[in-house]
Amino acid sequence: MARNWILPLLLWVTTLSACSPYVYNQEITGFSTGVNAVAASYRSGQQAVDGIVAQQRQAAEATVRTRLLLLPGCDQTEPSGTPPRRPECAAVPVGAQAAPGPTAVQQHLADAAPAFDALKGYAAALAAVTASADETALNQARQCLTAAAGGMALELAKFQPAAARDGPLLTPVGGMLGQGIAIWLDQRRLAALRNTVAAVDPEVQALGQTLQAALAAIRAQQLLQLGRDLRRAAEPLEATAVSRLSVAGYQSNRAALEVDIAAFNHIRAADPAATVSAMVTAHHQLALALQANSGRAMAVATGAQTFIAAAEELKAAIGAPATAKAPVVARK
Amino acid sequence: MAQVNPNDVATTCVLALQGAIAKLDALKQQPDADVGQIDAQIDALQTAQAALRDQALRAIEESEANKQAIAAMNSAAANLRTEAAAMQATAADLTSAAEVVTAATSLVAALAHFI
Repeated sequence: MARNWILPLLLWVTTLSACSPYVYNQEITGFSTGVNAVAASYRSGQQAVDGIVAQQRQAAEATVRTRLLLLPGCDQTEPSGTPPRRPECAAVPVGAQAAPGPTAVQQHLADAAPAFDALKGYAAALAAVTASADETALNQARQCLTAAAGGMALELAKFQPAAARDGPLLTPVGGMLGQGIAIWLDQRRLAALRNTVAAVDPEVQALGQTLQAALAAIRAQQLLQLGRDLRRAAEPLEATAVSRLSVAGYQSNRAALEVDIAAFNHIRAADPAATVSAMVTAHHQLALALQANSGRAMAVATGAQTFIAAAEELKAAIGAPATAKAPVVARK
Repeated sequence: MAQVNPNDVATTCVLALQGAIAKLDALKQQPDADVGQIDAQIDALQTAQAALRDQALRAIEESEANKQAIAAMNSAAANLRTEAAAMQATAADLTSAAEVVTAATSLVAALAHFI
């Protein structure tokens, strides 16, 4: 009797196995890695701009020898008020009630955070759909089902010898059922990816503009500061009185200048437009491949790799400690 | 109306300013050049370049397209996370089913003595 349903089930699973979809796990993981690198560039670049602003403020204060006072918060060691919080502790010019707020550039960069967070959250969710977490659980379940079905067949055969005929067929049913569900889940995965990736492709392009603008603004601020450092370092060597420098003084100025040139070139190599373009292209190729359902497309893999490489380059350039140098003294 | 990309506009203007900076740099080669004065002018132009990038960022952030894109991406991410959780639950359900079959097998084995 059992043969009536076991055989069609085995046939169904075998047929399904032949058309199990490719769900772009590797490519989506690559896209997610690239997005994380871009988001990391933004965060470290933002910190670099904060550092530049702080340096400029301190340099301006040093130039005019601004008298400073500690805020009253520096005397409070424990949180107070409702809700409890630690009052601000900072050195401010006499008369100021609080530390200076963010500059316009700092504020605009902070306002770009939702765009980076949205893209990062989306990439993580894509990866979650293709992740192997449920695959691991499924494999365990499949093993349990196979063992359980085999045990059940043996027990049934003991007191109903007729069932022994179906034993060899019943035993793999558990495993096949698990495999069938795994294939069904892959179909569901593919459907979810196909619908979502295509639907948000224009949005990825729109957010790309925000990302590009924010990263370009960070790069511009860093280059502005490094350009000033560079010109200041070149001043003694560009002066007509350069011949009056001692050899040691000349060498020391030259060495300092080379450090500044290297830092300037490092940041200058960052190309936010190219990185964002690679990201948009990688996503678009993924959307096209999912729509065509043509299996593993070479263009998607290449696009994801290009994006990762560009994002890592950007991270290395923008994330460099461009401001981790001696405090700048403002020009008089 | 044609769509204007603030990033492209900023890039065009930054490149135009770069042309002016290159001309100032050329002046440094003259024997009587006041390098300090030229550097100050270059600094002013580079400050303008950075300000253009900042303005482009502000313009994009305030655009409806940016706000809609953020909302759409957050919504898509939430839907995908729900789907991922459902798949995870299916796998867990299958494990539970296996446990039920194992328990039933034990029951059958126990009852076999009485049949």
